[in-house]
Amino acid sequence: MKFTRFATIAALVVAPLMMTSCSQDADTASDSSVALTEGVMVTNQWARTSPMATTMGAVYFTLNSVKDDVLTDVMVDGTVASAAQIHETVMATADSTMMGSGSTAAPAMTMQEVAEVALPAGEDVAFAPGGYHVMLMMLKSPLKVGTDIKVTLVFKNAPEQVVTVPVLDEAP
Amino acid sequence: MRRLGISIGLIATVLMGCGGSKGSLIGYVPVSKSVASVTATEATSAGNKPFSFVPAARNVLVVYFGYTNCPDLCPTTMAAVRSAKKMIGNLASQVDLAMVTVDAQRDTGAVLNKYLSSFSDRYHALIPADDQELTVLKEAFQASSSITTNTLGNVEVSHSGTAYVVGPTGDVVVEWPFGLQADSMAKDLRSILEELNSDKGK
Repeated sequence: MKFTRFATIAALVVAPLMMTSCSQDADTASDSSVALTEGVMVTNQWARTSPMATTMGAVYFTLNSVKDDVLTDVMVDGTVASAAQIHETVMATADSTMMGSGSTAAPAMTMQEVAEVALPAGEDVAFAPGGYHVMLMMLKSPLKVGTDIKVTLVFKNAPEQVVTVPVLDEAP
Repeated sequence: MRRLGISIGLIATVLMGCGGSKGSLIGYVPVSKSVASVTATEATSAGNKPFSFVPAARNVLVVYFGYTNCPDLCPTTMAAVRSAKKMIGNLASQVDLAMVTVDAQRDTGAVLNKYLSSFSDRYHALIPADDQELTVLKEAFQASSSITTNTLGNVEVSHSGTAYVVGPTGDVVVEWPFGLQADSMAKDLRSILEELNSDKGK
């Protein structure tokens, strides 16, 4: 799902009409839906509801940076979860996987923390089920549909952003 | 969405590599996989009881190997199953759900039952009594999992993301790789259940 340059610019123009948060201020974190011509655009953000007795949560979104950048950290308020980490679901290595009998056993997948995620200029980088996600560790209380949480995204170059993330049953 | 596409594509390729499709089913149809002879331990409010993977006549059982502290794969698949059931209307009453925890140390019966109640009105919380029982179940379904503790002391769980649909004969009739969308699951369920409800159904 690569955006062309034109599409990227168009997306930036219509961004305020979408569920979007963009970098605005180079000096302070922003919580804004104002589109700019530089920075990182965040779209399709959502967190999965967690009424099901789990203490872990996941946040998803799509990032599109005008210039080459790197997502270096994620943070969440301590009232939501103990910590937030960038995780990626990957295929488990063979030596760490206890397979069922035979070579046709379904491959195992696991999560691993990643230090940073490259954001090539103009490309959509999806945080989506089965891939990158922000893992919320030890939720303080269940994430309920209809509520929002704030997640801070830290970039190597662009200013950090506080993104308002709605809690949903499924991807928007 | 390049990376996600690679992951799902790889899994689908692996699963499809040894099997095929049957009729109009979208998922992978194993050549022959019976789970009729294996028994699991179901945690109920009345205590543990043996659980058979053979659903009632004209019913199917969706089986998944996962754990409740899984924030990504498990709730994604469970939510897709929930959506698929909504899409097939009254046929959903013929769909049962079971989850085998691969993390029995942390998943108690109360926790797993509460977890599953978020995704289905019919469910079975299967908590293997020991490692041997889990191994037998994984071998029967050809699922996989492992639990390790990293150098920081954190528990790391790996598991296969496939969901298995078992028919009334105890045969796995179709397998859904991780990432299969709810509408595809719904099409498979509708095809299977309509056949079961016809004269050919058992």
